Amino acid sequence: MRTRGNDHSWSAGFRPNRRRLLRASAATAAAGLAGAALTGCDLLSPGPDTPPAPDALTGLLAGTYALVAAYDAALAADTTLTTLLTPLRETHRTHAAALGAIMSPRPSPSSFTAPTTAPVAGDRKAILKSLRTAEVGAAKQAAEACVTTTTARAVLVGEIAAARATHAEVLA
Amino acid sequence: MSEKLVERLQAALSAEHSAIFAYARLGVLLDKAGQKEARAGEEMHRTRRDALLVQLAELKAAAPVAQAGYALPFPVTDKATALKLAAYVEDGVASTWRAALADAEGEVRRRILVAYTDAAVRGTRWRRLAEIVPATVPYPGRKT
Repeated sequence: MRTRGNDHSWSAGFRPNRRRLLRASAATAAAGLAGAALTGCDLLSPGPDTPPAPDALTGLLAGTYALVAAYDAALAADTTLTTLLTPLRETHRTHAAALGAIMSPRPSPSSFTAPTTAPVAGDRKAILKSLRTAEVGAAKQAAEACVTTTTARAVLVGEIAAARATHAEVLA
Repeated sequence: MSEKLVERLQAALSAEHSAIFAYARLGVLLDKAGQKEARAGEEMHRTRRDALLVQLAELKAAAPVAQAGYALPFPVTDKATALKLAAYVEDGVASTWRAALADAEGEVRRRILVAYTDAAVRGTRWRRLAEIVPATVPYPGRKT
């Protein structure tokens, strides 16, 4: 496995400390979106020049892009997994687009691109196990987001949580 | 508790009743592993039904009763159609729980999400056993 620390590549999603890393990458992305450091901004009473606060779903979206990157790397590493993994990656892309469409301010996908994509190590079994671990963690992240989000967003975020759980099932 | 939530929970209870009925019908057509999975599924739906009965009683709301029989959506005569029915039933249960998400908050919403996710995962498991590809959908329980 990969080293820890400030590694924002996809494999970070498989570390036990992935939540912290996802938050970190979400914060990075948010700062990128805002176009300036958030330091010194009063989020409660933004002035005319204050960048808007990032959307509450920014972390969930970052996690979604991390999953897409994980599948990209796995698909590149083992072509025998194409049939199994391609629809799962497509689902995460669909989710990312759906989340982006309801978020305010509208996120830029380029903000979430992993700076480096780690090469996948291990055999087919190890790859599937890593992806499964990532999906289980991501399903928990989405479930928490579903419980705390607004009424209007509860169904979409809940659907994402359920879909991730079904992914873990087919990777078992 | 909103009136809408009560309606959603009543719909979920009706779906749980029909799932219990379907599992009792389809289990005998499956192989040993399938029967074990069907028993686990039936048990889970009984647990959800009982929890819903308690929840609706607490809300002083009517609880729909199970019907003596349910019309099956297609003839169920062998292992293949039994697996298809199991997936169909779980999709139906997932759909009713999904619809309740927006009418609840906090821990009530969490419990609804758990029931929804469980049905979605079981539906996927049955599709896998039936060798339906892909076994997953982007939005479980969403009617297209």
